[in-house]
Amino acid sequence: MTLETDIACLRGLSLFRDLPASRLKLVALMGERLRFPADSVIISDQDRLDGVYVILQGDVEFSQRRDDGGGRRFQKEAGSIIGDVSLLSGKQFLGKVLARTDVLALRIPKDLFFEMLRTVPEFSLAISRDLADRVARLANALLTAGEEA
Amino acid sequence: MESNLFRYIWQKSRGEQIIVLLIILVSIPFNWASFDVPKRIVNDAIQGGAFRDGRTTTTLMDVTLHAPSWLGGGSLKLFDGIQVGQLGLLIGLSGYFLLLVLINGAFKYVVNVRKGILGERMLRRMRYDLFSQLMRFRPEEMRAVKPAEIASMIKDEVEPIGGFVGDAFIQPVFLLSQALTALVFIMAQSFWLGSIALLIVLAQAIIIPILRREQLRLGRERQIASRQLAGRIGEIVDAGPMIQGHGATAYVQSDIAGRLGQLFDIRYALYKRKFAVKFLNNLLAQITPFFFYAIGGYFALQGRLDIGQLVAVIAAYRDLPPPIKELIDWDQQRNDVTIKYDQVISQFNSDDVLVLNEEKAVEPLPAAGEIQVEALQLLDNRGQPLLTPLSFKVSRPGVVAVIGPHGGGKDVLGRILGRQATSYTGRVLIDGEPLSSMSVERASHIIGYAGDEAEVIAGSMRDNILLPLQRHRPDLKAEGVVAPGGHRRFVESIRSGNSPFPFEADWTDYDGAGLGDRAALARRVRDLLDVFGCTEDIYNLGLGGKVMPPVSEEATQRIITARRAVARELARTERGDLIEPFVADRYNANATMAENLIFGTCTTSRFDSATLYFEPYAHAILRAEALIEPLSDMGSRIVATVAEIFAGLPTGHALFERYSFGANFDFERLNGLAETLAKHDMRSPLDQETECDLVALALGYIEPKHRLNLIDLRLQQRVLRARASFRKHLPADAVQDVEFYDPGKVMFGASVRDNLLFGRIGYGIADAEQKVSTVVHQALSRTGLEGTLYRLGLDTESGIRGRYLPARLRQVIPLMQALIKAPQIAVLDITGFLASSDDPLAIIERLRSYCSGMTLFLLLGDGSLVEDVPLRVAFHGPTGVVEAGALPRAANDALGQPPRLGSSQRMEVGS
Repeated sequence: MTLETDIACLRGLSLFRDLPASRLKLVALMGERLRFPADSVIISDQDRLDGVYVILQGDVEFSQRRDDGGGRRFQKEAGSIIGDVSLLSGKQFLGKVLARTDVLALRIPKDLFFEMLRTVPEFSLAISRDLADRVARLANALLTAGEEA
Repeated sequence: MESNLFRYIWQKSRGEQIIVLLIILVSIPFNWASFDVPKRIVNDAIQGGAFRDGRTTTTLMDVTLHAPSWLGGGSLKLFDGIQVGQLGLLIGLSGYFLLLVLINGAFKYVVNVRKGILGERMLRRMRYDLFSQLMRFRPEEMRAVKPAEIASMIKDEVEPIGGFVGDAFIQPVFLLSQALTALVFIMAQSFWLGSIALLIVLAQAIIIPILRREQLRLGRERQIASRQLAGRIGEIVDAGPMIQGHGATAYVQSDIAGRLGQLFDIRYALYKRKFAVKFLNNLLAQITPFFFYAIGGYFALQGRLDIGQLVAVIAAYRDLPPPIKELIDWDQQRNDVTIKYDQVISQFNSDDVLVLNEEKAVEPLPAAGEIQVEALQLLDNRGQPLLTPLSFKVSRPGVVAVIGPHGGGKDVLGRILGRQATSYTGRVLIDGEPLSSMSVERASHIIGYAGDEAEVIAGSMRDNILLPLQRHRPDLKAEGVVAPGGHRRFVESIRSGNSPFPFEADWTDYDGAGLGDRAALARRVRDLLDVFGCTEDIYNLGLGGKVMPPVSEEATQRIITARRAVARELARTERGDLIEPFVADRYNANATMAENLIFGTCTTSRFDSATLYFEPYAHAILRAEALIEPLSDMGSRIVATVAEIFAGLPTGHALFERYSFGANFDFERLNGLAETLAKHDMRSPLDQETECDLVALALGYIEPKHRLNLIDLRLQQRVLRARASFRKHLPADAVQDVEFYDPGKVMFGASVRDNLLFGRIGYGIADAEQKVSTVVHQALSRTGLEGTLYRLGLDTESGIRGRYLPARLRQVIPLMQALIKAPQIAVLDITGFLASSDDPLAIIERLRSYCSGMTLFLLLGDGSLVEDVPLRVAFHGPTGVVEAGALPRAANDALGQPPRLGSSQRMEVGS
């Protein structure tokens, strides 16, 4: 896959929708494009994250095992960004990320990620929007859970 | 050290000085005789004094022993002598004179050589003594001295003192004996002439030293000024990059210029003085012969002095001024050197020096005991507290967590416990014994301290780690065979009061560290590396080492074997895509264009891609394969794309670095190229410089890395053809410049890793580096080459201040040093090391179990890592709070935080 297809792929993601073309190209070029075969581990429980992953193609699955043996899984599809919370908060990544199909991911290394946040305002804005969106959903989920209880 | 130079010299070299003095005493009669003979030659042989009464022969070489008159005055004739005529007498006496000259010369030679050796020996001793004294300084004092000043004192300033030592007692005696001989001789010939000579000598001896007093003062000033200059230069060199960075070089240069000017002024004044004194001295010496000729001639005319005597007096006088002059010089030198010595000694004579060594072997502490810290306090030199009074107790063995920010009381407490700071008040009692009264040796056996700064000395990583164990005096008798010259070296070092133990011997203290032998030591090093999780780093260090010729046949074989093993391992684990190997007839997509073209390691800069365009041979090859145009096209497209992406980025440079095309293409240069290209008129050819740059850019291009889709199959084919002809037609003078890739040959100039992989790590595979590392590691352990690599890693040169080592290994060195000697108390500052480690919790865990038998003071910045340690000292600035009895560790909070949210939400947060 060439740079053009990568860029087209990135443009399809809501996260990068508003990025100007030259910045999109920058993200595509600076990132490390990685291929994960189906069922391989992308991030394991014990990893200390050294970058964020943008899933370009394919499906991934989060899973978390609890100490009592139970656990939760849920899916994320192309266009998600993984690891940003862990990197930004400095906390350990909780859970494990598996490739369910063949996955093509763009890894933005930690230092590059922070540098982009600092130097590319459009990128910071896109990340903030995504975070805010997730916080909103989380609050919503908590509220619903409260009502159920 | 002895504060009086002469006493010091006499104490340390009495025997040798006496021997030389005796030799001088023996030489005096010969000296006298050599004055006497010319008189006899002139009077008896030339003027015929011996043949006055009509005798035609006289006796030569009769040897008669006269008993002194108080013994009765008898005499014993040993040899009757031979009868000679006037010519015979002349020849005989001249021969005798020649013999005396030779004898006197021989005496001078022996005395000078002995004096020289004596001086060198004393110089060696003095330097060693000064250095030993330095080693006894308190740690704070040692940190306060300027290295360059101390070095200049030990190296340069004592040098003239050493030269003087041989002369200190001998020279005055020798010169006085010479001068007195001459003077007495002159006196014996003529009292008047003798008195004149004596008078002038006395004048010299009185006036000159007075004039020289100022000279001495200037000399002392010069010494201090030049020492300070050395210190200042040393300081500036240390801070050099910072000074450059702030553009303060001109300011600093003017400081040095000022100091040089001051030095010049002193030296200028000194020269004026020196030559004025010299002039006066010469004048006085030259005036005396005037009196001799005038007055002596007058006496001779009157007949009160015969011609022979006059000639002898003048000859004797020739020998008088030099010793006097030298004697005055000696006095000058004495003053000079005494001042220098006082100057140097005052820097080294500190009132409280440490006791370095124990009388007996160091006894370890009992297995259990108690450490008490009582009202421990440390003030800085302005009276501000660095550590406010602190008291706590800990039973041995035990653990204390000392927590606080960098630069606060935590560091101070660590330094006190590690005996790096000694000017504290209060006490540290180890089983009731105050830490301050322990000898350095005892404390070093008991306490292992690792501070927050790694002090790496020159040598390999291993040398650095094992430094604390280098404390066992080598057994001098152990090796039966002494190397040639070894014995002499030994005797010589004893004579100079130096340490006779050879530096090359095995100083490792196996017993003191509880180790049986070398193998046990190697195991401990390995264990410690495992504790700190640095074993892998050592392997990587080994892998990063360059393979440089000469490499033995065996090593070559080993590298090739390992290379095959890596290839096999890759095939076995089905990770062939990790590495794209170098194959002679295949384009390696993960290597640069240049590498694909040359297909070898460049051992010189001749085929650097930046200037490849201008290299005639490479240029010819590129032209022959019609590659120049496509490459320069590629370059233009790269420039266009990169300029577009990075346009308008305020600090785009750092990002740009990641997308580099080789070392010498910075952002400005690319922008410049973009401008040139934009202005360029397509109809005319590009200028050579621009074309060279474009080609160089293209040569640094790697498709999977840069991903601009610029290389197609046709281009690859062309490059492969160029590769073949590049190799085929390589001129003879370029054979040394390129080392072609060959699976059966070692690549010189490349790292061990490159040699083993023999290919390029593929882009686009997650954590490829690490996976490759694992594979390489496995392959090596399969072929049994793991140990070699590990040793290679440990043998890596650490460079000045450890700059050849990765930060993590640099930081682990003090920790390893503290623990390698198996101390009973370990004081470890691991803040910096943990910051560069992935899994601090596990390291602390391993460290604590490794140190379970010791008392461990853990100095760290983050208290959450040691929550279960019962005794914690938390610092806020200089004030420490002792928290005893913290909560025991919870069973399952491995992540260090209690679960709060439901699992699904937590995942959302965690993602």
